[in-house]
Amino acid sequence: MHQLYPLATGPLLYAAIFLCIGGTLIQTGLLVMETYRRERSVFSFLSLKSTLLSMLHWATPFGSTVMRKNVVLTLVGFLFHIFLVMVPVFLLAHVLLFYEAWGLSWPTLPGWIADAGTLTVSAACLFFLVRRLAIPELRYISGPMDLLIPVLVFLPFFTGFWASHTLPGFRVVHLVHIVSGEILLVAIPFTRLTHMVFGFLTRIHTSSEFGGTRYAKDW
Amino acid sequence: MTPSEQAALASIVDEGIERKLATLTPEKIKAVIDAVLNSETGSRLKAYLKTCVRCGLCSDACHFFLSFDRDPAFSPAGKIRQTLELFIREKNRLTADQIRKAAVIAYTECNLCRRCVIYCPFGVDTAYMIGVVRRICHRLGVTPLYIQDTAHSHSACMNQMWVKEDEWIDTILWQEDDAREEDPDLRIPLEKEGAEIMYSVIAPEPRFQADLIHKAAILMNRANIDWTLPATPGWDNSDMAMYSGDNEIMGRITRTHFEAAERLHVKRIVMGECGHAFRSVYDTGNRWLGWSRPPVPVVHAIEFYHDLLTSGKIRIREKEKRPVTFHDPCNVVRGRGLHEKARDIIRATCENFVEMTPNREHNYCCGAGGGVINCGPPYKTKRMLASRVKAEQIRRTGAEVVITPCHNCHSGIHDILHHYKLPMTVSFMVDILTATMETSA
Repeated sequence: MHQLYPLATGPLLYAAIFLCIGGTLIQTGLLVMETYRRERSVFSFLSLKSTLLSMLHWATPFGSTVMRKNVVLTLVGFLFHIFLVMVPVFLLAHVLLFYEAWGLSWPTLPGWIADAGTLTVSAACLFFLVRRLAIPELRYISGPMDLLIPVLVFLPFFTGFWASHTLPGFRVVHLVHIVSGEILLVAIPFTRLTHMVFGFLTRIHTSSEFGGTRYAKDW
Repeated sequence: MTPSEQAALASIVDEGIERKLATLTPEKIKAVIDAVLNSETGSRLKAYLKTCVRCGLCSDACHFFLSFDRDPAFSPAGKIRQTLELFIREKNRLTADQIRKAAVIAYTECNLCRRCVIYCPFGVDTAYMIGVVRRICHRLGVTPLYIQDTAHSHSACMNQMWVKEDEWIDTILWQEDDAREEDPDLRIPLEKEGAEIMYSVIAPEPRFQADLIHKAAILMNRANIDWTLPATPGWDNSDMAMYSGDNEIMGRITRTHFEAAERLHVKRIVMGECGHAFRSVYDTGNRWLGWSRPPVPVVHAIEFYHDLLTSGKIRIREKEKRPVTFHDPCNVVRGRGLHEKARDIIRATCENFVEMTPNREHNYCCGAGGGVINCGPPYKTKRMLASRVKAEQIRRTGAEVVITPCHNCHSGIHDILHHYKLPMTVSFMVDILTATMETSA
């Protein structure tokens, strides 16, 4: 088991980071290039003001009508996305790894916030999964990948909490944490998790169309 | 849904769809879908399909989904799952039955109203995607009989109702005669070169709603507007080809419309109270032709009436007393943001205005737009069932008059009022304006 740590924290980690960043850049670059090649007119309708205004509304809790109609989902969704990014980036243990490897460091989250955030993300994944299975219109549009993605996100967070609190079996769980985190990173550019980037692109286009051409709100 | 309604839905047979299906093979279908997806779509479609996280938030935006008791098959994402995603899953090799189902969904179960777009956190444009499905069906020749007849009319006559050139001119002269009973000095100027405004209408006006031309003429005359109508093709601004998926005809229609305006050297085009026509001229057809903005400024009737009122060119004599409500047409509200100007007009002309809820960009669709009413009688029961939330929304206002500046909305709401036995009437804005304005400027 211990022999796997160097593999998981060495080549596999670098490969995962490379595939995540490289894959995302390539996917995004290809999409933008294809837009330029085949739907170039899209660029002439882009509106910075409309995009910023729309993004401001969508980035503000309850800033859009659909958020006000779905209070619980909005709260869970916002907390989930905030901690999903904050916890891995600002976790003391992760920052230490970067410091040891490259001498880089940045501010970190207090332990209790990191713990609360990790549990929030884990619980939110379960919420999304239950919601997907319980609501008929969601079940109808869900495929295996839609069920798998919450599990992919849940695993590194929950196992991270488990391992950091040295709960029983933490050594194995720690390995699962590392590997599942790497799988999640690789999944970003190749699954619906691409919405991390593409979601901004579609929002830019739609906001520009609504605000810049149609003079209507899209929130 | 009652058993008889279920039976009515189950018994729909569309000759236009069935006729072509018999000749299709999975190979032919694949060739057409490949061609459309590879040569007519690009990153937009890819981004929408990849970005949608199946959160289901679009469901509650759709009047079909709400009216059909939250049937998942009618949710926007559900419709994409049954069409484009099915195409992808099957690698574009579909059976005739699968294409029939896709055509029925695309043409008759989505009004392309774009309400779901503003309920999507990523702004995924389901209406655009359903438009792609319609384009595929059009290229396969699988289009509902009635809307295809309209597209044929556009192709042959450059108007949607087979109105011949002499019939158009005769109708204008007849309406001029009628209007002169009210305003003896009134003229409807045909082919006046250099006029400030070219007024364009949709073909149902000369065909069976000619009084609207009469009322527009009264309005123009009393406001002392320098206007004209073309006597040649281009007078009809409607565009059902846009909705049947026939982009080539859509382009011809839009070009003919603008060419008429250019030939007459007018400063701008004022369009009658039609929503889809505005979408074609302002948003879709012009861009298909490569014009990022219309080559001749285009003004929808709402904006025009608003200008007349605020500039004092027309004055209101006595406001409408009956309680009125306003239905926001998708194509000029989500499509052009004219909702506040429309409300200004209503407040200026009506004493008792009751808002519908939801309203403005969030209004429910009339159920008729997007070419759905143009798919004709076979689908009327379905259209009425899909309008249940619309009927409830209208009923809650307690108004006596529903005002809506769009032909499709007008026809759709007219059907809804009858079907759901709502004691109300539906009016265009020009009906209210001409009834309440002073007889001389």
